Amino acid sequence: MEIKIAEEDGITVVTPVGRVDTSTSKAFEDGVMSAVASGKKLAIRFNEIDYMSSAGLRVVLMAGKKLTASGGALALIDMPEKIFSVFRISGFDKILKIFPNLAESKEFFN
Amino acid sequence: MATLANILVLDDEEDTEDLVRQYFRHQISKGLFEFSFAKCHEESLDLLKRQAFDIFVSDINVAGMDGISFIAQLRRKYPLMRSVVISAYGDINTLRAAMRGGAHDFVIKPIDFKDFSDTLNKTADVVKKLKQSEATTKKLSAISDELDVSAKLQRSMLPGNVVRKGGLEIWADTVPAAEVGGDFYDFFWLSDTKLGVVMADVSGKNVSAAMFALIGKTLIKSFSKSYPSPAECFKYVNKSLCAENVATMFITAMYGIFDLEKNELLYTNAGHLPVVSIRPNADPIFLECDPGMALGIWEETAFVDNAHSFSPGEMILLYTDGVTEAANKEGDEYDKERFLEVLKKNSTAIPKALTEALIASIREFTKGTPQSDDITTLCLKYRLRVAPNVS
Repeated sequence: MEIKIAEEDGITVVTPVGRVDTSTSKAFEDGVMSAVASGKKLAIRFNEIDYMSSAGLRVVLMAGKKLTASGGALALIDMPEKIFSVFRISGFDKILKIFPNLAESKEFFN
Repeated sequence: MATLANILVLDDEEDTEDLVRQYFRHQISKGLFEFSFAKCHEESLDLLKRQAFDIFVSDINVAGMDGISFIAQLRRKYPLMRSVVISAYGDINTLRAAMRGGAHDFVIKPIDFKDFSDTLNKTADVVKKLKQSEATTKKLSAISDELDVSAKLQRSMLPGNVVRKGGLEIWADTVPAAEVGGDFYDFFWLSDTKLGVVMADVSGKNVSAAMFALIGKTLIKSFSKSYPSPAECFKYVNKSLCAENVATMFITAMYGIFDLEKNELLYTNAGHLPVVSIRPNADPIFLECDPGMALGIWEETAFVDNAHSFSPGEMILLYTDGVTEAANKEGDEYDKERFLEVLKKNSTAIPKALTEALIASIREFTKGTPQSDDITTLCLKYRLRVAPNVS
């Protein structure tokens, strides 16, 4: 798996590519956490991954907790139905902010 | 870089020891080199028996002995020691033979002490690296032994595979992807007629996940004794897990109490995959319910009890995402359709046969790819015992 990190309109956008499972979750964690360390407004884009296991959910949750604690914010964007169901089943959709796309998360960040 | 090295010099010439001690006096006084001297092979062996050396320096032509085979013998016996041979100028064939036989380096007579010193320093560095690598290998092997023990411990904390009582039959199993896994199941009797069943998946794998799993499993079992409602039990398990969860780990779990008198399953769901109900020769269905959040995330999570009544011959299956999300070489997932199809085909089987058919089908689908997640299943079947018709 690969992780793309880019700056879009003042928001750090992390885009994992491929499968986030047990064997790749460490790379995902390193990528997301380096972005957490460098910016306060972070978005994770999900439309380039095929699969995410609970190990990946944990990374997203950690990023959310870290950002909230430091006065930052995390938005989850461009989430296909299949990945959304992983968030819905585990109940994470209730505590994480999910938006259709980056544009619609603007208000949340402001 | 200079390194502390213990060096054994074998030479039958009288003045070698004096020359060496004189030239290396600074290194010796600084404790960088320590020299011992032997005049024959027997004496060398004797010294080697008594203390460990890093470098063995030998004149290849010590009178009357086969220096090359001696070096080869030392290489086998002391794998962390390296040999430096001293040979006469132009004796290239002997040198080649010595190097082939296991010598590490050589110096030419008459000895240029500057070159000799460099050679000793370089060899000492090599030995130091060898020792470090040996130490790392030992550590890794100790860790690997620890993992074996953890795997055994984890295996031993599971309640076994099978329960049979009256008309009730359970078959449960787990196939971890790593040495130790993050999935666990449990079943325990709460009374003569009530059996608790648990299916859970801890985020992450290996030792940290296994430790968190052990905590979760223990909490569920102990709170189950105090709270007859699965939802209440999870409420307190969740609070306890949230209290000291510094590693941001969580557990998705399903906990149910099967009541043999009511023929009913009372269950609650903490972010876990829905239970499947399998009735003879019918399409299996997911028992959808509003899942509470996974355990260990948010202290105030509310859980809900759901009741499911069994019909004759019905089975329920609890499982983890290692089942439905197992991927094949092309990256396709085993998915719900294949899952439900196998369950339907085996809808009249006993729990063990159904579970085995399911795992065989996953294995067939994922052939040629390493298992990426733990695969855990628990199947419960209850056949009502019909009273004999006395007329």
